[in-house]
Amino acid sequence: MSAEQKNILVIGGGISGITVALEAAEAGYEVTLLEKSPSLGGRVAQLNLYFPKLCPPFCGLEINYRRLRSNPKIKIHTLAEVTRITGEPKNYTATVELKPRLVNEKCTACDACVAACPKERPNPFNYGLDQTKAIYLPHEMALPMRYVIDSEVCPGVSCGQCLSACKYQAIDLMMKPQTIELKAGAVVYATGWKPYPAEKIDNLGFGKIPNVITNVIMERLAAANGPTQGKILRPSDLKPVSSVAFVQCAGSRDENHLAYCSSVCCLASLKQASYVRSQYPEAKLYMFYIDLRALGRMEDFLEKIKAETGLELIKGKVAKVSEEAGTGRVTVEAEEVLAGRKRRETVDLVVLATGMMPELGANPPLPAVRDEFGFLVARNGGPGAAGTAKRPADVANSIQDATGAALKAIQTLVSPV
Amino acid sequence: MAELIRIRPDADYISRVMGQGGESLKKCFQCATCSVVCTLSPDARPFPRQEMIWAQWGLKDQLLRDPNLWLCHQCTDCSTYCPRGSRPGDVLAALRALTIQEVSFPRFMGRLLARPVFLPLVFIIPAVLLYLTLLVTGKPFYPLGEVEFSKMFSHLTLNLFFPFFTGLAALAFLVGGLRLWRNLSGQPLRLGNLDLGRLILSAVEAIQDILLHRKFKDCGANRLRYFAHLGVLYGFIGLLITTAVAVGIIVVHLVAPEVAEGSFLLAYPLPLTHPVKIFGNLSAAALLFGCGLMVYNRMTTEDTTMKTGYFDWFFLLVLTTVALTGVLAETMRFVDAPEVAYPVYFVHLVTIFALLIYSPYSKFAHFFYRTEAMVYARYAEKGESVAGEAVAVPAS
Repeated sequence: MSAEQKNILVIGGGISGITVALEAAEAGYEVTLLEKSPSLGGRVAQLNLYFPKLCPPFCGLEINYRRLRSNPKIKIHTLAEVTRITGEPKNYTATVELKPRLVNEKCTACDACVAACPKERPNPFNYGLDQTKAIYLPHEMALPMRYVIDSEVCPGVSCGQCLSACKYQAIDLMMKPQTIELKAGAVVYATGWKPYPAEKIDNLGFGKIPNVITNVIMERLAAANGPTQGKILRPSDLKPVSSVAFVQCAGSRDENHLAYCSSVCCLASLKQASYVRSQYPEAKLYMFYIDLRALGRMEDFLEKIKAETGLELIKGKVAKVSEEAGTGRVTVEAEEVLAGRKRRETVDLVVLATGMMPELGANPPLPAVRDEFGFLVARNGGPGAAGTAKRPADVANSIQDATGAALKAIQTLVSPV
Repeated sequence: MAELIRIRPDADYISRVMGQGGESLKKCFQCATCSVVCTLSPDARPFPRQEMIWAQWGLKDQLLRDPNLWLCHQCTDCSTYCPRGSRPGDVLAALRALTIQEVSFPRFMGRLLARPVFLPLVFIIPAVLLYLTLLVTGKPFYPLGEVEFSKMFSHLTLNLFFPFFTGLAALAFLVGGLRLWRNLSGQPLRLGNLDLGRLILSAVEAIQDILLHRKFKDCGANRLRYFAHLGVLYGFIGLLITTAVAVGIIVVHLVAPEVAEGSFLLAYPLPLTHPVKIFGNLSAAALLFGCGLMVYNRMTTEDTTMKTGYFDWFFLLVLTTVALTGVLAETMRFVDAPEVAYPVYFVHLVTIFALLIYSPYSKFAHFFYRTEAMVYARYAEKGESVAGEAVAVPAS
């Protein structure tokens, strides 16, 4: 008989994975938290403000980071990808590939290496809106607070200019990938979501018209640590905007793209209307929708944003987007359903409310039940799942779900069967 | 105070729309993507979003007086982009088919042509009629000697037979056309109420649109249909002209044989090098090409964007058979193969008869009713702008 494992493996270091790890560890269980990218924080770190409170995600992340650092029961691996998990509840074995960071724990995040580095790469944290050097800090709220080298861009020892710039011998260009094996009694997927690729919606112009952006890009434009230092400017010429149109259900509730409602986009667009209003008191704001989905207490948020921003809500889906010749402005077209006539608005910036799809690929390391859209269905006897790996959800709901997933994982460890 | 509107849903009409190929109707959630991606949808009264909810609610009267049904050319842009797979293009096609049934005269003929169970009957009637004609005129099914179709049905017979049934069809179209006008305008057509100048202008514009296929050209998702429909329309018109000229020549032969004697242009049957014969053969080629393209297109889009029901297939296949049997009969005449030529010719006549006599009730009817609705839409629009200006004057 193999020994029963009494620890939990959490895959994904976003807000849900962090929460599962903390809740289980604070209940006394050993947890290993794995994150594929160089830092914890996930998509939440890319947000400007949360709805409905309109507070920055940093406070919450900071508190959670402190809980993580002060809890000896949690082990964290970043740049860690699980390739295979075998076994059964109470006794899993995971094979984990650790990619080399090329920067060791001596790094103080002093930034001296960045000035020395000659190579640049598009910055995925800002959806390619700006560049970082090949050696970079993932983001301001990185955990570990340590630089990392993009080995696909870095020419390696043949360049080595960062080596002399670093006073702390923190850079090790010879660092090799590692494969480790981890034992666990329970596995929880907290693999999160990714934005639907908006360029697939061929009638909405994303990727062809520069001033058509997505809602996740809007978060970066509005964030103080973003590519424009928080100024909402149109991408074509970085000029201020005088009008913005929010296009709801860009790919969501659409059998040709995502057949389901992504559930957060209405509220996210309302929130983003307040970003624009706070910077541009005179800007015209339009939101084209099929149905406004502001459930429960979120209805108060809708009413508040309507009153505070003067956002014009137009029932009718935008189905045609075109660029005005010479001005960079963009015309959106919808049928104004309540009036029964077509409506066109030409604006400086169009924000597509693109939906959420599961980040977890088709062949997960441990087989799991999926719904028709690829979201995980947590079943007793199988791996657990938390947050947006299970369904499109906002941060608050993801955290509540993660707390429940932690309890389920603990039950897997302690149940008599 | 808001006006109280009583809605009278016609549940039977909803199921008829769904049974006619619009079964995806109820999936529509009114996002109005269709009205925007449609290149033909006007700004002031966009379609087909509005029609979708009228149909879902069974608002039959509303739909019968809606010219938008006929502005749709079923390019299927709407169905391609529809986020729900509710296929507005199919629903509008079903609504048009039902409108043809509604204005049919006599009404039972509309229902007869709409239901596949009557298909054998639909062909037995003309076959029996034509066979009886053979018996009555005492002509053989397989005449002896070189193939000559007038040995089977004499020119005089055909010249009595077909114009009679054409007259019946024309009468049915006249009554149907008047019914459609009453539905569209909300009042019976009276010459006294008409602004003739405006009507003629509207007709000229609409017919220009049709002949140039402007609306079809604007359609995005289904380019194939533009060429297919162009081929069918012009092939058909070309064959009508050819037939008219041929009948004219036959009449000359019957009335004044001495004039026709020795004349190349008045020879009958028309020699292959006769300009009208060449024109006719080219028209038949265009018709066949168009029909073939349509059959192909309908078979390949069945599951994706365009549903093809009995109503569509009946018309398309009858038309295709007319073209095929016509070309085949002609060829068999030239190669002098009587055992094939006469039966094929008989089938040709049966399908022509079916095309003709059922034209006011089959999809053929769109040839007239769409034209009428397009004329009406322009006529009404011009009327509105006239009225609008009249109101605007005292206001300023």
